[in-house]
Amino acid sequence: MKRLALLAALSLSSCASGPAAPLEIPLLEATIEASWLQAERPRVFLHSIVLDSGGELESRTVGSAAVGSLNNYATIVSTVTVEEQVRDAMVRALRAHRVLAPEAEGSAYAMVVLVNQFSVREFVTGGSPEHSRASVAYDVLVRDAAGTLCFAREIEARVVSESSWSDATSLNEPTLRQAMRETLDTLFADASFRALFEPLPTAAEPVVGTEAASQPSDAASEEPPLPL
Amino acid sequence: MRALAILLLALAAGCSTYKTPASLDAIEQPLARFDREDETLRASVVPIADKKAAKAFLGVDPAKLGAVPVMIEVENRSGAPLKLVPGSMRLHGASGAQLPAIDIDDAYIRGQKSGMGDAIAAGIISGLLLGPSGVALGTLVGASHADSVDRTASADYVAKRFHPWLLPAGGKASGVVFFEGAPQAFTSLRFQVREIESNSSHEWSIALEKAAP
Repeated sequence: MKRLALLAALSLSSCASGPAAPLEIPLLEATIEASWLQAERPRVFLHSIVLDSGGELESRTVGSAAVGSLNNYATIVSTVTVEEQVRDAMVRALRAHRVLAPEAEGSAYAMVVLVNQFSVREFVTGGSPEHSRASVAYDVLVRDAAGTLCFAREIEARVVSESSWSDATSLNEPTLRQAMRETLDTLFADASFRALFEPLPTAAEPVVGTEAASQPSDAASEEPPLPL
Repeated sequence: MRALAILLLALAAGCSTYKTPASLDAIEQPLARFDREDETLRASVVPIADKKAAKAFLGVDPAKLGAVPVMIEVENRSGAPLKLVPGSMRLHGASGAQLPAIDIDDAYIRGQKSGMGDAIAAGIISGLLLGPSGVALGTLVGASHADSVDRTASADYVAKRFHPWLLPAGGKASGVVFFEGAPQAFTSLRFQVREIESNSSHEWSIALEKAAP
């Protein structure tokens, strides 16, 4: 069974003991509005995931934990890279909304995701309840087939877990998962992003009244003028 | 009656909560504001190095925190999407020091460690003063209050953070950025601005000292 990929480890070598599968973002499909799924829409090809701030994001280390009753410091290591993790989540989301293009050719759009932040941290002071804080932030850039930038937005989620008087290490994974989920929710709730995916006209549906149809076309200009 | 008195005392002791205004305009201490605009950006910057102002707005003393909060407002006037590069942002001190920006979570955690969340201590101390039964109650009250303090302060910091860093044409961003270092006189705030379309960057700066008349 696919299972998440976070280990609170005292060394990076511990990551080898976990299953190499991205963190699943459950219930995404269940929250998609029915209207998304009722029409054929333009599709987007996920071109690349770029790690915008280098260094830390290029490794599998995604945060820090305080393990056990002594709160020993430990790095949180993902069994897959941040790039793989983000790609998997975005592909799932686009596919679930039925707008994922399998390849660049023929797709209406190409998407680039710049990962600004992808981290989770367990917070302890010794005198107050422990909690986990996750921060996920992407710049999402979408270009049309002509290469024109038609969407550029930063989406960000900062999630703070509930406080716990016992060890909060177990909260790290669900907190990061929720932050990932919230970024996707934010993206698909964005009006300008949704506007990219207006339903395509069906074969039986006349295009009269659409913006494209109202524009004078070469074909229209060749027609003889209407008699006055 | 005694139990009720203990409860009231413990509650009173536990009520030294974190409470700050949502807007910097509500701060009584006068703060210097610096403005600049050109064809790329319009920006307004207010360093909050003053202890009273920082305490009032963010619940922290910048000297204890080891970081200086700065309120920044930016508007993209370029007509195209722009990215302010977070890692490039520096606060330049009169001494020549260049203070890098730190993440809001780091600032919050530092704030907690520097005394922002005092309620739990107040609760436990009240309990100690009231005897063994009060210790548990004071701890309980202090703890539950600290919990709410923690969430409130945490949410407050997230709400007041500077965002977004990517600005669509005409877009605005505002909020607080913390800079690593001690409060001092500052000369400028500098950061890289990246044009999304061309992926080219250039430095943008705003002076933080009044020009001589």
